[in-house]
Amino acid sequence: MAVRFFGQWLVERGLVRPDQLLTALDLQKATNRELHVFGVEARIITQKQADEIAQEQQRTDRRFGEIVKEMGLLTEEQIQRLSRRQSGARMFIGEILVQQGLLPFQEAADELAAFHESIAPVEAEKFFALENLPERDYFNAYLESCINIFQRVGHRPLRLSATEPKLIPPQDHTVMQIIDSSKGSYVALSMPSEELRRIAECMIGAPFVIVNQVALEAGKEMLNLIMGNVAGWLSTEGEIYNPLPPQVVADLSTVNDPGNTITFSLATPDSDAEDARIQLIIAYDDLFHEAILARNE
Amino acid sequence: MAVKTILTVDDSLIVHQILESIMKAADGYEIVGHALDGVQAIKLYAELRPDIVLLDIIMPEKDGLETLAELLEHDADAKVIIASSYGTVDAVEQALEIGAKGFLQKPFEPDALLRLLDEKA
Repeated sequence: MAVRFFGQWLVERGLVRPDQLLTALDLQKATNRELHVFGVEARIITQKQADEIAQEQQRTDRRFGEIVKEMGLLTEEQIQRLSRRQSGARMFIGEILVQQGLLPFQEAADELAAFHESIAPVEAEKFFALENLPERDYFNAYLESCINIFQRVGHRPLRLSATEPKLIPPQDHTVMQIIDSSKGSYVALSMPSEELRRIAECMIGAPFVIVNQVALEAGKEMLNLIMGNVAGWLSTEGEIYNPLPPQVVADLSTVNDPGNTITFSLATPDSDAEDARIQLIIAYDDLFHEAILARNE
Repeated sequence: MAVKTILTVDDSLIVHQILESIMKAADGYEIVGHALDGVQAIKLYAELRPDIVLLDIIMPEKDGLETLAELLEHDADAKVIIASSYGTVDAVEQALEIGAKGFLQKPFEPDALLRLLDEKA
């Protein structure tokens, strides 16, 4: 059975001791930000209200939930959601171990890549069983947005491919990523650089010879459009999405690992047979996963 | 007819290029400035005093809604249209409540943008 958590993986490979992992986990808990900070990020309270709440907490030593309910600011459901986000938004365990000098950076990056590869069979199983996933509505929203945007903006019909996704994007791919600042999760889009060039030409109506900065901007904007359009649906499901501006990344090992990822392979019209050319990668933490399951009950 | 001037605010270079090509093909509008973030937007607005601002929401440093509030603080008559991919009811409501004149979700058709500009500028 695949190791579920990265910290566990490192202990099993003898790279950190269990007591070192426990210390790192304690430090991870200590990086919790206050609930009122999450409230401002989620735009359900203003900064002024957050300051008032913080002052009241300091003055009376009362809990956040009690104060905001008394002030008539938030519902119980909103308070619970913020609590879940707080639990989910901790620092990446590998990052803490590197900071503590317990693991060299390159080794952490290499091990994270290997860890992701090790969970590949589970990922493939999730992929092929999309129809049976309780989170299918959530993932379908992403897929529909992706396919819609590629059609409208890139003039590129896409379809879900049956080929197994490549968890480590190939060398000739450009990877763009948006991190959700309140959840610490991310969505990424990986496509061949040639595809990116073609999309950029479509958006601007001018030819590009190589993948230059403007072509990269086109890719980031595509991901921005996909995510922005999903955000509307997410908000109707009570899920607040707080994106940071999209970034081009070297690979996915440089970001926080929320614990779960699912990768969708999308075929383009000029793909050979079912060869997947574009990949949409969605990462989410256990708490978010539980929230989706709870919504579906 | 007098040409209306526009300041575009978006952290994506490609969006500026797309807007530039839309305005070049249209009559009556000229983009006089491009800002890549909210801080630059405030500065350029003060310098250029455009007739209208096209403003994105998700930007580094200062997001669009913060920028909108600040622009209106400096000039209560500023005409700002939000052009963003971030299409939640909350975002639209917040923008309009702060004082945006309109909200257009990306990707938009050039005609939709021009119609809104004709209406609001």
